[in-house]
Order: sequence, then structure tokens, then C-alpha cells
Amino acid sequence: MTQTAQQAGRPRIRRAPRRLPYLARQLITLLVTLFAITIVIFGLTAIAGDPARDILGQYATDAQVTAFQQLHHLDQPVVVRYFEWLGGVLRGDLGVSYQSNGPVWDVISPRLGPSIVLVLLSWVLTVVISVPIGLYSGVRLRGRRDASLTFVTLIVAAFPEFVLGLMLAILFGVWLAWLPVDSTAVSYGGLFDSPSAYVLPAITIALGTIPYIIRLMRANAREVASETYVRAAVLRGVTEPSLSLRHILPNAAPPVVTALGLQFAGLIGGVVVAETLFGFPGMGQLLAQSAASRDAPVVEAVALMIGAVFVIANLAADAIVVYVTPKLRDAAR
Amino acid sequence: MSAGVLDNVTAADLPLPRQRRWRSFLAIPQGGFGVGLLLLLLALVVIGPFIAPDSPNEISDQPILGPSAQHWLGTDSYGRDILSRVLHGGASVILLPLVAVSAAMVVATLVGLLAGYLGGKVDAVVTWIINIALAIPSYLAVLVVVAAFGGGGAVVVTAVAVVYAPYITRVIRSATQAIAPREFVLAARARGESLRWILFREITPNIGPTLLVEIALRFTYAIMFIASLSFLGLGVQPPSANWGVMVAQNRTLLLVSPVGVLVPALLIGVLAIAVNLIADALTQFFGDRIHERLMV
Repeated sequence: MTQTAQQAGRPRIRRAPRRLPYLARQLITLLVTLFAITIVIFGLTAIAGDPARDILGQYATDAQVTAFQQLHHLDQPVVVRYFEWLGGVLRGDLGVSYQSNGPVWDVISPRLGPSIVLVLLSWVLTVVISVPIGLYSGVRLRGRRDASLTFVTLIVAAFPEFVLGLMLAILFGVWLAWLPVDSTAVSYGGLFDSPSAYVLPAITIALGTIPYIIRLMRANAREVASETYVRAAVLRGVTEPSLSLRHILPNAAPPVVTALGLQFAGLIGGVVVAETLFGFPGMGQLLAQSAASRDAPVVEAVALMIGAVFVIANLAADAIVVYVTPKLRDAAR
Repeated sequence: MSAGVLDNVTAADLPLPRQRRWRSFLAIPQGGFGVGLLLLLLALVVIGPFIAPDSPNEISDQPILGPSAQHWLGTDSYGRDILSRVLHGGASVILLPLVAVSAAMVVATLVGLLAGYLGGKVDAVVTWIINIALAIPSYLAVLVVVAAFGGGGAVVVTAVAVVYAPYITRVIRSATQAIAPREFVLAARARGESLRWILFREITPNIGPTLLVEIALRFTYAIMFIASLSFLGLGVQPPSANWGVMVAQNRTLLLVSPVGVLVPALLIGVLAIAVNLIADALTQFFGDRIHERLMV
């Protein structure tokens, strides 16, 4: 049974449709997905009903509730509100926060910089740590050492980020007292004035994805290492590190690159948890706080921004995979 | 997220149902260790409330005391005995994910079986929905739901079930597709069996191992996810004793008495590890490769 399930199920002959250039197809996918995300985000908030009473509290007068509804256009039909919101977003107007009553953008803007730095830092940490370890263990490690590495990744993968972060905080913040357990310092001064405040949150976020990437890299490197062209290279006298870096890594990379793109989803959870745990004044903390205080406009805006980054990262990863894999590169033309 | 991800499972990746004894499952190091840990934790959660020295919400002493003979883990900022709260706080950590995964599993299995077996338009619609759902990060979806409906156990369980269902559906659909063209399924169709018979008597037993691995994996993720949400203050709400809530509340005591934070945090970790080890052992036991293929 080597044929694929679909071929075996019901044979179907279809004329190959004329295809748009690769980039155009990707852009259309991007726009459709983003549109779907806006509908889901807005739809979920809309079906919950009118939040006025919940936000203002039980002692608010009817006049206050009506004023709140008018201020936030809650007295209009859902469809009208959706298109007003979407139009606003396209013009750069993200709406008015339920809690601060000011523009959502003013709540978000001071938090963007720190979060971007934090995410990039943890993403780089993930790549720098997990790709070499995964590659080395896939190509070289066998037997008991390999099994113990797998076991360690399994254990780390099962710890939620807030538990990992907490253990780091106790170890490096309380016992060794090397690093601050609270990253509030980031909100004062310039973006890079308190570098130590980034360290623990970044490691926490990275630890959430590292085990997964190590396992994926290891599995792929192992599969590629047993291919005939790798053995041929060995017979030709190719030695390490050239064998791993030039012959195995490029061929084992595609699924890992895809996963690193997908891992932005994993990073989101990590960012929300790590920022909350360390009091880091970023988008993740804002998202958790706004969700808890039911500040829907802020949550919608942050979710949309993160969703856009996620979709773009996935497409970028897809494009990189197509670019580095010769077979796919030809098909994409 | 290339669409090809959904089409690359073949029958060779499916585990064959094997008649192996549970003893040989326990002989896999991860299996024995995982089951042992899980049983220990279950014992703690079930017996805990009966042996707890104090009631979990009773103010029993001065606030913020370190560990002592009277309060083994100290007291929290309200003066409640942390050990008693730990002993009471495990049930919701296990039950909420269990409910979420069970609900998602029921829906996803039905949809996945139908889409995988019927193919055609049904499958096209299901695949389309799955692809859109997978394009939305799960954390975002759940946080938006909480922002709209307010936090709490019921909202979080429903949200997690809805968010996980497409992932499970994708696995079941792929497994079903790999089984559907087999001879015994064709034979059942030829002798005129009903759709229900074919789905539940012919296909389901053969994707059973994949189902089991999926349940165990999803359960691990759900434990971590829901505990994290409770930690963020969005899941189980504060007065109740819950390990996630306790970590969030006692975090302020980090510099004074780390034990009170560390113990509930570690217990969540150990629980997730136990279930994850079992999932890993199940994967080995059945030789399941679908999850590797779909990069779940």
C-alpha cells in the first residue's frame, strides 16, 4: 500500500488549472486568511452580546449604559459595526478602548517595541539552540545518549511556560540573584536601557519551543542522513562538518523552517504567559489584561495584529521552503 | 500552511491493531514511568481533600508564613494554609482538560470519519473549515472568546474544545482516508452495510490506536493550556483552590517563600509530564506515524 489514500479512494481526472504566479497565489491566500481572521475575531465578540452592563457594573444608571452604547456604536446592527470596524482598521483607526475610553492605538503603541524585541530575541534563541542540537543528535548521537536527550526534550516540553519561567525566576532571580524577577523596568527609559529585564522572559518563551524544534530537526536529519546521496558523499571522502552543514542540513531544513514559521503561534502563548509572569510591559501582558477586563476593542486590535504577523510568518516560511528546495522551486514557476 | 499537509498520510503510516498485552506497554520505560506518576498524582488528588489539615479557604493563621511544622508549605497572603490548598487544588486541573478533550474528541471523530470516508463535497467543506481554523493561533481564539464572554471554567473549557476540534478532525480524517480504500471496507460496502456500520465497526477499530495517541497528546496540551489560562486569571476564578490560580496568587510571595509557588507549579508540570510520557509510549507501542507526518 504505497499509493496515497486519495488516489486509491476515487480516481479522478482533472485538467490542471492555469496557475497564477507563486507570489500572487500566496498574496491571495494571505488576504483571504486575514479577512477570515477579522470575521472570526469580530464575530466571536459580537455573539457574546452587549457588554455595556458588564463593563460599567451593576450600579450604572440606564443613561450611563445608553451613553456607553452610543460612544462605542453598540446600538447599531452587527454587520454595520463590523464594516465600520474593518474600515477603521484599514484607515489605521483601531477604535476606542472600553476601559481607558481613549484610542486603542494609544494603549498599544508604547508596548509594541518591547514585545517585538522580546519575540525576536526568543526566536533567535530558539533557532541558535535547537537547530545545532537537533542536527548533531540526528546525525551523530545513538543509543543511550540519544535516548536521554529525547527524554529531556519530552520533560521540558511538558512543562507549561509559566512553570518553566517560575523555576528560572527562583533559580536566577531569587537564589543566585543574577537577574531581575520583574521586568517592569522596561517601561521606563529607552528600549534598550534595561537589557537584563529581557533575559528571563526571552529564555522562558524560547524554552517553550526549543524541545519541539530539536525533535523535529533530529528526526529530519536522521532521515536525510540515511539517504544514498549522503552515503555517496561519505564515500567520496566528505567529512564533518561539511557533511552535516552542506549535505544534510539543507535537505533536512524544509519541515523545520515551516515549523519555525508556525512556531509564532507557540510564541504567542509563551509571550502572553512570560510577559504576565515577569510583569513585562508588552503586547502579551496587554492581551491577557484586556481579556480579563473584557476590553474587547483592545483585544480585537491586538489579536488582529498578532494574527497578521502569524499569517505573514507562515507564508514567509512557505516561501523560504520553496526557495531552498530545488524540486519545489521549479514547480512554483 | 501548505494544503499538502492534509494529503500526505498513507496506509503505511497507520498503526496495525496489535494484540499486545498491557504488560508490554508498561515495559516501555516512558509507559511504566508515566502510568506510575499519573497514578501517584491521581491518588494525591482523590485522597488529598480528606487528609488536608485545614479547609482550603479558611484563614488559619498569620499571612505569609514560611514553612513550619504547623504549615508545611507556609501560608499565603490571606493566611490560608498552602498545603491544604494544594491538596484540594488538583481536581479542577485534571477535570477541566478532560471535559474539554472529550467534547472535542466526540465532535471531531464524527466529522473526521465522515469527511475521510465520504470524500467529495463533504470533505472539501470540512478541509476548508479546518484550514481556516488552523490559520488562527489557538491562544488568540481563546483569549478573544474570554474577552467576549468573560472568564471562568465553563467558558474556557468550551473555548478549548472548539479550538482543538479542528486539529483532532484533521488527524482522524487522515487516518480514515488511509483505511477507507482497504479491502475489508470495500467488502462491507459491497455487501450493503449501512454508513454507521462501516464508520464505527469497520473503520473506527482500525484507527483506534491513532485515536488513543491523539487523546493522550491533546490531554497533555489541554492540561498545560487550561492551567496557563487559570494562571493568567482567565480560567478557574480566584477564591477556588486550583494549582494554576495558586501560582498566580502566590507569585507575589516569590522572594519570601518560594516553596508555596514552586509546589503547585511543579505538580502541574509533573501531571503534564506523566500524560506526555504515556502519549509517547502509546506512539511507540502502536508504531503510530500519523502525528509525525501531520506535525501536530
